[in-house]
Amino acid sequence: MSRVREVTAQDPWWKPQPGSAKNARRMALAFARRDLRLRYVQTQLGWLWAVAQPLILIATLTLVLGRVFGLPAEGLRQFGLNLAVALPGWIWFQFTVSQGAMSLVANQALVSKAAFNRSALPNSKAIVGFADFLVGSAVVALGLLMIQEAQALALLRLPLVIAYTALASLGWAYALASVSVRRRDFLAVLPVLLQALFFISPIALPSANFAPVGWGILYWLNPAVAMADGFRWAWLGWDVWQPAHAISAASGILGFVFGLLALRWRSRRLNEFL
Amino acid sequence: MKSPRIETSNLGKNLGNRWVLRRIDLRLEEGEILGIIGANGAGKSTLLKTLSGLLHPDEGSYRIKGSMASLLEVGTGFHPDLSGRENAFLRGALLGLSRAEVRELLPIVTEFAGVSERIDEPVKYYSSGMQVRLGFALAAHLPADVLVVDEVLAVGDAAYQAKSLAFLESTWRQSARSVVYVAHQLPQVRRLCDRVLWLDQGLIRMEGPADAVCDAYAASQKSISPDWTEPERRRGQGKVRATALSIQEQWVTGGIAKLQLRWKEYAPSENLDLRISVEAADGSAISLWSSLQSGKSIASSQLEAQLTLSELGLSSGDYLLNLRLFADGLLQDEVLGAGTLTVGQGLWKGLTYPTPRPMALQSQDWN
Repeated sequence: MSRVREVTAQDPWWKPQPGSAKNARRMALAFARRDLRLRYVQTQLGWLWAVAQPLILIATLTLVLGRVFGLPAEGLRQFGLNLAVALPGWIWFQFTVSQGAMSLVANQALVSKAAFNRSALPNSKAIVGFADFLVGSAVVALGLLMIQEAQALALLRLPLVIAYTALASLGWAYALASVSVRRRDFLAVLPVLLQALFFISPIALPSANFAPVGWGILYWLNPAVAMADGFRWAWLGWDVWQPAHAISAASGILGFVFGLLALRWRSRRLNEFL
Repeated sequence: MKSPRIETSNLGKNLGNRWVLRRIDLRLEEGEILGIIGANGAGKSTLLKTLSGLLHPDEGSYRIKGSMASLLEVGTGFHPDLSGRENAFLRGALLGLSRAEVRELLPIVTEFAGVSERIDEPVKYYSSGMQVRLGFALAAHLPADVLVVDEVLAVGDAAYQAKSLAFLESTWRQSARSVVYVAHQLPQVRRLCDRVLWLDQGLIRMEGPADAVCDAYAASQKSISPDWTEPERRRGQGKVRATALSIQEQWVTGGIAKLQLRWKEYAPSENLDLRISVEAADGSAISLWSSLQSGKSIASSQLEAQLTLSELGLSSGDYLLNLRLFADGLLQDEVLGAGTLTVGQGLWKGLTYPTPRPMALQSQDWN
């Protein structure tokens, strides 16, 4: 075995971090396993929460918002359908962003002692969120089967939307984790920002019904627009796309590249700040 | 010729506009154990962190051949709610092991740490000693080519420390493993390391065979001279204060040794205990001479006393004497480093007794 690690002061910051790709993957899985084990350590219902959480959210939002908008029965059904297919993806997205953003600061004891690839921490949060997403999606799939709304062929699009959701949320998580190492105020306002993002994203209503007036291109810069409509495209087979969706999707992909670079740049001096 | 495991060239690290490490050129060959010593803030941890990949150098470069694991503070960082087994998997991943590799190591590791029966309990129910032992045991059994170790042995009780030291000594020597070892305890460094690097304010002050560098380092630490002139600033209640300690003639192993002590009386006491503790140059305790042991009581009005050792039980070498005066069991005066002592070679029970380091010898009877 003759692996050689050579580091010089002049190495550019965007050069890959110490540790092989294999180790980065192993670390992300190890952290995710830790989080999943710890999660329900002191709860009574354990894993049932993963099922109950999206169900309660869907029911509450459908009833409350349906009442607010004064929807008729058929409208309520459409509304619930729109929400149900987009919600697990949104929960996953916001979990990865909020938890991933905190992950470097929250694990600083480990980060300051072991030189693993730093993306492993946000990645582990995406894995944990994905486990919840799978449970939520199983609930959704069951519901769609019962009301005979699922489109078997369209479901093949699901992996594409899932990959996009992972990339878009990780981009934000990487970038915010990098920034919050020095500016922890970001972590304090992040929950509020994500809540606001929920309301300006087409989670409960598709963007076709939810095109805000006067926002113009700003609205479409939100990567969650492509994500939420993407889940409708995949689960229900609806043709939701407008040309402007390309902006949203590009914002998600570019956000990932930007976040990755931000994290590499921050990793170089990470242990001087923690 | 084989290439070295670690090679650094002009390595430097600047933290907060200060060079905490500079012009470090070192080589670590396969199977070699390199010790790193130096005062606090000399750059030892910065060097380890740089080699581990935690800090990026600001100058120069380094090259590491083979798999490396860095063990900084092994006893900490377990998650209290997870079982010992789960923690071992997580720690293993941090040290570069797969789950399968950890699973394979686990029986030996838990056996060594003495936690086999409790490995599936949450770590919060372990004593702190058990946690530390588990951390060390895992670290010590790692199959890495290069180990970077910071103060691992400062853990556990004395028995466990002795066990770990012996274990490291044998495994490190037998395997072709290369180790960079940082410790504050010179005796450990002398015992474990082939070569020692002495860091001083970020620079290499000296590099060479373990004993030579440790001796030089210890000598530099001993330049603080005791304060005989201001007795009121010393510790103790002050019924009596020592004024002089004089060693007569040259002391040799096995010979007669005499030493004279003078003091000043501030309040009378009939029951003085004059104690002299003997240290080796690196600060390890060697022996204790106490006037109580002679069975005679010494009164403070005597103002001086003489100690006679009919057969000096110290091997040849340099020693340091610390002086403490007690009256009725209470400390009256303390002079650390009250005298230095060089013991020459002599016969012990009729035999020459060459030892490479200072140690106490004792009369004994074998059957």
